[in-house]
Amino acid sequence: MRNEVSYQKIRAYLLGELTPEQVKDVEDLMTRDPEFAEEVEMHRKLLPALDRLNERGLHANFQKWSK
Amino acid sequence: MQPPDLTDEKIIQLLHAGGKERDNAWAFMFKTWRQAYSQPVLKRGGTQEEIDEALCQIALSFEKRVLAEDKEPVENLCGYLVQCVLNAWRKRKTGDSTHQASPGDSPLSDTEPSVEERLILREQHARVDELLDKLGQPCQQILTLWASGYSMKEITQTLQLEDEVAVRKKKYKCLQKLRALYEDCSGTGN
Repeated sequence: MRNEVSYQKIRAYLLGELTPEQVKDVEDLMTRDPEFAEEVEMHRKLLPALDRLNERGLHANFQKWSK
Repeated sequence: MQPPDLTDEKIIQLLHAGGKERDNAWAFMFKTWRQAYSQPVLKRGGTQEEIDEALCQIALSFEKRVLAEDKEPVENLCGYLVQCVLNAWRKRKTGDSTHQASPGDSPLSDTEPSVEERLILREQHARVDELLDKLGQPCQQILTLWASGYSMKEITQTLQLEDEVAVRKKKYKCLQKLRALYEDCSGTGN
């Protein structure tokens, strides 16, 4: 199984927030693993929806904790 | 259950880690600091419901600012959260155009949207929510955990699914499904 790359890291890569070393790590993995490369490209298009899910998840937790 | 006492340093570490550790940090801040961030609003005639709405509004901006490595570290996270919630509540009550900023006001001014931006955001959220509703519950669950920073192992445990490889495949299929919904919606399907 490939080493896991978190959503936060993929997001930071797409937003240009990684260090050059971290960018190299992600891009090396994309070169070695076409499925991961496709996943990164999907994230590029889906960032607003995934960020919204993150927000909705946190709000759901707030509701749960307020009871 | 009473959450364990956490230092600011530990909270930042947990938020950075994402997933369940991030949830633990938020559970601590939500429960332990609830009185601290509610009191200033209640004292000014606000309701608990308005406080919760204000907290929802600023939560991700607060987290982004606290974790920002290119800015001065935030000192006293609790005090900062209290100020953010109070300011968000004030803005919702008065609107940006009438709210007079004071020194130390708007701690999230560099990350917090204006009223106009909030209206645009609300429209975008409504459109995205419509797509997400079409995604179906299983995919929503997996992708919500994924976007919250959960690892494959944590998603597998939380949703009581078979194994990590199966979850990775499901996540991939859910991303493909969401992409297809996006393409259908924008008419760019291929």
